[in-house]
Amino acid sequence: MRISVNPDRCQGHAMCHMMAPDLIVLSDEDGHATAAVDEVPEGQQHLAQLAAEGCPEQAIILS
Amino acid sequence: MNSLISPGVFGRQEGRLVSARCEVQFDHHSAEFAQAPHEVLARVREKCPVAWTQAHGGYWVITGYDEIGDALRDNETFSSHHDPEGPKQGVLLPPLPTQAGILEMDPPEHHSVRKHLAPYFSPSAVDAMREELLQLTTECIDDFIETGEAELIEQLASPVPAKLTVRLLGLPDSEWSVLADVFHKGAYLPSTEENMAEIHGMLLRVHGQLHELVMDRRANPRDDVITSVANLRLDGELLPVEKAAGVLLNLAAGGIDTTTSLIAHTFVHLDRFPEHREFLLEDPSRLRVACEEFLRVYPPVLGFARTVTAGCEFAGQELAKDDRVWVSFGAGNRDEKVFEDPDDIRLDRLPNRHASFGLGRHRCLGSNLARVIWHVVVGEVLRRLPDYRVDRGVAQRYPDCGDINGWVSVPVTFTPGPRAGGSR
Repeated sequence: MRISVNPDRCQGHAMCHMMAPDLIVLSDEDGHATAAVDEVPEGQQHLAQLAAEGCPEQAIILS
Repeated sequence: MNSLISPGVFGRQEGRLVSARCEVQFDHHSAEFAQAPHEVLARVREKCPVAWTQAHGGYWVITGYDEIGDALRDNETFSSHHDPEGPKQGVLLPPLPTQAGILEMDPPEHHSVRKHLAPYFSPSAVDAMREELLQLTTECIDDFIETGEAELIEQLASPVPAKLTVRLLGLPDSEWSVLADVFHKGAYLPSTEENMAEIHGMLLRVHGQLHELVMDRRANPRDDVITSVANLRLDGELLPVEKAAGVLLNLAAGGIDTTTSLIAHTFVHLDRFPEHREFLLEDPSRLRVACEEFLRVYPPVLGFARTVTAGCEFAGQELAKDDRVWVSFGAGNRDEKVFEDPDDIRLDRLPNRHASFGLGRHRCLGSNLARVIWHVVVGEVLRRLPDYRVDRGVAQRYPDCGDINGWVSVPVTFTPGPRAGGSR
């Protein structure tokens, strides 16, 4: 499973980071999210799923 | 046909038949709404996620989660701009007398100003304020912990955000009570001539101080949020001092009574649901996830307005240019299409993509700060007065929750405890 964040959708709600702190980094500039990894490590898929489902802007892309 | 839906109007748009306008009886400033906002919003949403009401000169009410997102992400069609002389009346309905900082700006101006402010409210910037917040909270609790009784709004939930905000803005520490009063009293006092004069006087005072601070920071720049706003240039021009002071005032308005309200709802909720209090006392690390459920269920701002910039069809309704729209985050948060058993309050609800901080480019700039303040204040109350009981006969909601959904007072009693910060 791969994870990325659509920068045009993300508004910095920071919910994804709360759910998956190892998969997401928040910018010091505006608090917006980017993926910390490309491939989601084994055992963290459910966290990636929660982060994607919990994003108010639906900005997280899993593939 | 249901009594809430009138026959409405049929019209043609680009050759297509547009459905009947769905009309409801609704007023977000009414006493009926203040008593049971979620029941009223649920009834409106069940009829139609985008509906028309005749109140306040007529406006659209958007209550469906998806429709809320579509409207809030389309800043071109749904404008936040406020021109006191024109049809664009900003985000409060009825409108504020003056334009309110970035809250009532559209792109590109909004994005430029916001970009300058964002670093002061990023998660890392906010984390750095935790110690200071804990100290402010400890001082407030120390003032009443030995007595066994407190009024949690006046003595804690109102002063902590206000004291932090005066420091953030660079105002003298002593000004916190003016700032707390102007936004807290301004939110709930009935708009009598006497009250309005008092609130207006306080607003002028704070605005005047911010005006002077902007001038000062232009001459003596520091590493603070005022300097950033004071020296902000749009198209090469410095912001007019008036406007810069307005942006700063709006930061205070956005953060003070909203955070107070969320904390107040939490205290009342944990008194009504002892099992929830127990759940958080058992493991305080549960507060982080629980905060989002309190936000979902008790949004301090139940909705914001927009103005339609061009006639369009939206969710099957025909919107006209200059129509006013009230977009209800609070209603979206209870939409069963998105939230399972939306009226069940589950402090471990995950995922929880509530819209209480808004959606799209206007997402609450201070959301991370609000969470940290809530976390510290609620965490300290649970730690130091875990058995508090609310005097429910005296606790008082805002009589009108159309702008801010909060509590006037939440008096409590508890087993007295020792001060933490040394003797007076």
